[in-house]
Amino acid sequence: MRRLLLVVGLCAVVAGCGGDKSSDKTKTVTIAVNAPFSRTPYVGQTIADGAALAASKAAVDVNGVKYRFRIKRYDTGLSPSVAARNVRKAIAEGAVAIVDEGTGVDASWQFARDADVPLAVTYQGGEGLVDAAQRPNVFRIAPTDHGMAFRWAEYLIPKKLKIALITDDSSYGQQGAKALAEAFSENMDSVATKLTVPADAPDLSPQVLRARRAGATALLVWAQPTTIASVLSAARSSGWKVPVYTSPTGEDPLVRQQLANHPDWVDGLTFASGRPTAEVGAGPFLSFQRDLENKFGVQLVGVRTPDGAQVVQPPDYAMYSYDFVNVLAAAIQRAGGTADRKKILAALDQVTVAGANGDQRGFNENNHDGVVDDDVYFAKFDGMTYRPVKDDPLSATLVPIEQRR
Amino acid sequence: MSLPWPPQVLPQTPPLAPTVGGPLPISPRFFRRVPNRERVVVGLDDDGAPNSVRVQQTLVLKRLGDYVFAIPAPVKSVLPGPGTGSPPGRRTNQILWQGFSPGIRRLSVVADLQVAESAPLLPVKVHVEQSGGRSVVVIENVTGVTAKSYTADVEPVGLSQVVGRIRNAIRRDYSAEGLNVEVHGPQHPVDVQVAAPLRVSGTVGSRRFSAVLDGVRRKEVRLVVPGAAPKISMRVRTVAVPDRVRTAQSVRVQLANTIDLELTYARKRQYDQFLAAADPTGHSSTTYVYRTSPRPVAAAPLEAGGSSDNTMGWVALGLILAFGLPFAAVVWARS
Repeated sequence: MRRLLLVVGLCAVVAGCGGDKSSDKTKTVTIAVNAPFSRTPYVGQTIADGAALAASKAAVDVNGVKYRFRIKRYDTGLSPSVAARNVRKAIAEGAVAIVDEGTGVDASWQFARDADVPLAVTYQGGEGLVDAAQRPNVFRIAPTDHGMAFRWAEYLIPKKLKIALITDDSSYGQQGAKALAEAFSENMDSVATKLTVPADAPDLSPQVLRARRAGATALLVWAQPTTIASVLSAARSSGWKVPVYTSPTGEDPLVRQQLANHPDWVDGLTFASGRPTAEVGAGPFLSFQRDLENKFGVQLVGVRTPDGAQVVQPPDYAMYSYDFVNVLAAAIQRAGGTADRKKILAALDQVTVAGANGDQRGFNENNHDGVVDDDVYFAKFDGMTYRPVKDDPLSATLVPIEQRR
Repeated sequence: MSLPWPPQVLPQTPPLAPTVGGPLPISPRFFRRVPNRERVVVGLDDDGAPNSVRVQQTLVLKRLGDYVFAIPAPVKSVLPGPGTGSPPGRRTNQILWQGFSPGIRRLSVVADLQVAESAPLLPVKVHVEQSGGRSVVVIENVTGVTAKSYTADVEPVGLSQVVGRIRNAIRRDYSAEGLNVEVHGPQHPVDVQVAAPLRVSGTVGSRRFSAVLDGVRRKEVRLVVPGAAPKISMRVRTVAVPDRVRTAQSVRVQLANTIDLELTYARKRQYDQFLAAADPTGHSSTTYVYRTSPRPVAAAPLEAGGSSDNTMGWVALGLILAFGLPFAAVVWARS
């Protein structure tokens, strides 16, 4: 009799697995967020917050069945193998989609493909990560490295600078090195030198000195935030007031936190990123920012402006994960629910939603990148806050986002 | 009283208007004063039937700002065209454009279209017949339609203003607007024939030809050449609309000729946009190129994978496990 009870109990457990705990009229579906929460907390947190905000607001109704969304976090620690393992685990736990920072996608996308699960990169812009033909289940809402590198070339070459291209040996830095090499290949006269530096080196003075001796009149750094802070520190502490341009990691709070004792070293730092506002103005982005702050609180950078105001970080990368969850919800609506995963994948190519910054957001059959290369803008730091530059046609049309509290 | 309104009395197509998956959630932006140029290349079988339709569309945005719009088209493939400032996107029956124009931006796309949906809307049909040792090639303007119109006595000063507006629109290559006349007495409905006037020119075999087919008075040109299956290569473009309105004519005749001018111009503009322009009221031009060419070879379908071959086997195994295992477990538990 005991054995019978055991069998009946096991059957009940097995029957309960593989689906979400939902009533007939409501289904809750899980979206996994796979990001480096422990190693670069700002990146992980902002991705998860954006996704969670959209998940809390998105509502899909298919034939009277309401779909609700919940977010489950997985920490990659910036390790590709951990990231890939996380994706397998998330799929096994029933995730309907993966929102990913980008680390390890070269391995993990296939696990997702085999389960017909969409995987959306919302931070890294590496060229090989997304390919609508070869990786049909991989999507991205984030500026591409290709787009940013070409925008940098378009912006910097007319300035007649001799640029030292500095990248670190992280996978992020190496993807950037590839994109920069391609973008500047037609204008090597503008390049003074190319340097790869160790991502975790405490002191980059020798490398920065090499760039100076190579005749560089500008540094373009594509690297992790700590590397950017180290480059700035090495240049400024030696009295070299060279202009420094960076990948989007230049706006990471970590850079300002590391240089908090020398706020003037941050002044003039110019980074490229996806624009946070569209031609319709700042309204949609500010509304998104307010909703995010109401739900998760203000994201303080931990530094102050020269007049003592607290500095907050605009949630520009949070809007990408937010937008993806909304595109996913629209795709589930179009696919008639979550039962047919292939239908959801196909629908992701056909739907568009209004993005957090007022832009249209969506993918198409040719292109799984949701941020067009045109949308890369440049912003410059002054007093620990940044504003769009005025000498670039796109950036000049954008309104600055308030960062003081 | 308005002159017959083209969107009401003429067919809606061209431009091509396949069913699309739904409108964009935000209104398209940046679609005023966008010049549109198209080159439509039609591949022909030996009998003159179209076997492929490829369009190169070029749009030039001339102001600073965001742009977002979709061009409906029954696309099979979408590729960036020469000199494009950004790559086009593709959805079911749509070409997508989105980005930022830094002051001037050229957008160019090369799209292969579904022949079944696009060929019926081409302006010219080609038919090749064999006759003894010769071939008869018939090139026909198929843009003609019957439209509902009317005759009436109208106020002549107002009519002359309307004629002026139409002529001005033709000169500037924009859609004519504000075409209202004052009618005295009853109107009498009539049907009128309307077609886009076309110039066709090229070669059939070794014979060169050039002709204007207005689609009403002259619809076709017949060319007889020696031998079977002659190679055809020709260009088709719309030509200026004949203006037959004269002040010496009676008001009724003037009205009839004004309506003819208005509707013929509207029909011509339809064929100046085989794919819809971003700015439908603005400047557009389309060149159609017809060429005898081999039928495109469709890619061989991939062989069915092993997993799908075994579908029934997996279903059977699932059923056995679903029913057999609990039964076996109960038997085991009671043993």
